[in-house]
Amino acid sequence: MRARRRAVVDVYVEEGRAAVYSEQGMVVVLSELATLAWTVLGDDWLPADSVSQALVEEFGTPAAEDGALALTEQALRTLAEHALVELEEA
Amino acid sequence: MRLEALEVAFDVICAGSGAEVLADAVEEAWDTCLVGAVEPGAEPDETVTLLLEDDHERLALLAEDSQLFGSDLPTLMDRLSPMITRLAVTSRRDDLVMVHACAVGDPETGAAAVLFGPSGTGKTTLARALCADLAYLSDETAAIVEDDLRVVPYPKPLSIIVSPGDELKEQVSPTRLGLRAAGGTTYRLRALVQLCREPDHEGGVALEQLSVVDALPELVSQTSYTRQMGRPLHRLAALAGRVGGVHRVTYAEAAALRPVVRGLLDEASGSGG
Repeated sequence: MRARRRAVVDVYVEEGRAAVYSEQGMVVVLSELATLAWTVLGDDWLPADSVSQALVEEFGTPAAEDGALALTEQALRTLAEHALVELEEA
Repeated sequence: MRLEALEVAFDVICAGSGAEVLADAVEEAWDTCLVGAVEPGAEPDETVTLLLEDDHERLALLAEDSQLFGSDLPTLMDRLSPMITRLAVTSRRDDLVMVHACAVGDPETGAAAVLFGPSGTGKTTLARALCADLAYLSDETAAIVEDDLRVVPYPKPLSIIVSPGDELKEQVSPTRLGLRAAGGTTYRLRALVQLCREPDHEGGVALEQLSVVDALPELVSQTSYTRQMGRPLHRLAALAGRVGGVHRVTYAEAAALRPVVRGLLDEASGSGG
C-alpha cells in the first residue's frame, strides 16, 4: 500500500493532535498516531512501510499481535475514509 | 419601515390586502431591531417586499415582485426571521465571525458569552432563561468582530411554540418576553461555550474546559462561511485562545445554566478579560 495526502481546507495542530478540515467540509480530530501518519505524508506517494517506520520511531513497536505495518495500514484506511489521504493498494 | 440586523439596514415593504396588519405584526415582533429615525437619503443595504394577500388571483399576480408572499400571516412571520438572518449573515460574511449561538451580555461590564450549538440545543429557551438578568444579544447568530472581540447585538424576535402541537412558531419580541435589552453598552466576547443539552442529564450542570482541537469540529460546524474565511481553524482557535478557550456545558434545564454563565462572565471581568 502507498498513500499521499489529499488537499484540505486547513489543519490545526496542538500538543501532537490535529484538527483537519477536509474538502468535504468536515472537521476531524486525529489521534497523536494518526496526526503523525498524516504529517509524514506529502503530495507524493509514500509507501505504508515508510509511514510505519516513522510511527515506530515515535511510538515504539506495538505490543498488539498485528504488526506495526498492519496497524499503520489500518490508520491510513481510516484517514482515507475521512477523505484526508488517497490510497493505492499494492 | 427600516430594520437593522447585524448592522445591515433593511427596508421592509408590506404590500397586499393585508399590508397594514402585516406591518403591525412586523413592527411588534421586530421592535428591538427597528430603526427609529432614518436620515433622508440614507439608502438601505437590502430591501425586502412582503406580500400578504387573501385574494389568490392577486397573490399570483403580485408574488413575482415579493421576496415573501402568502395569505397566512403566521406563516409569513415564521419565514421572515430566517430570511432576514440569512441576508444579514451573507452581507457580513467577509467582516464578522458569525456563530450559530445564543449570545448574552452583562450590561455592567460589557462581558458577553456566546453559547453555541446546533438547532435543538435550546438556544431560544436559554435566552429566555438567562435574559431576565443578562442582556439579550441574540438567540440565533452571535456576530463577533475579530479585531476587538466586539459582539454585534442581533436582538431578533424569538421563535416560540405557543401551544403544544402548533406547526408554526410564533415570532415574539424580546421586549414582550421581558428580556433585558442590550442598551448602549458595547459587548465584547469573554466566554465561548459549547452547548450539550441532554434531557436525561442528572445532577448539576457539568462544566468542562475543552482543548481547542476538540472544540474545533463543533465550532466550525456552527460558524457561517468558514470555507471562505482563509485558515478557518487557525482563526477560530485564535479567537478561542483570546477568551480562555472553549467550555462545554452539559445540562438538562436551561435555568440551571444561569449561575454557570454568570460565573464565567464574572470570572472574565474579574481577570480583566
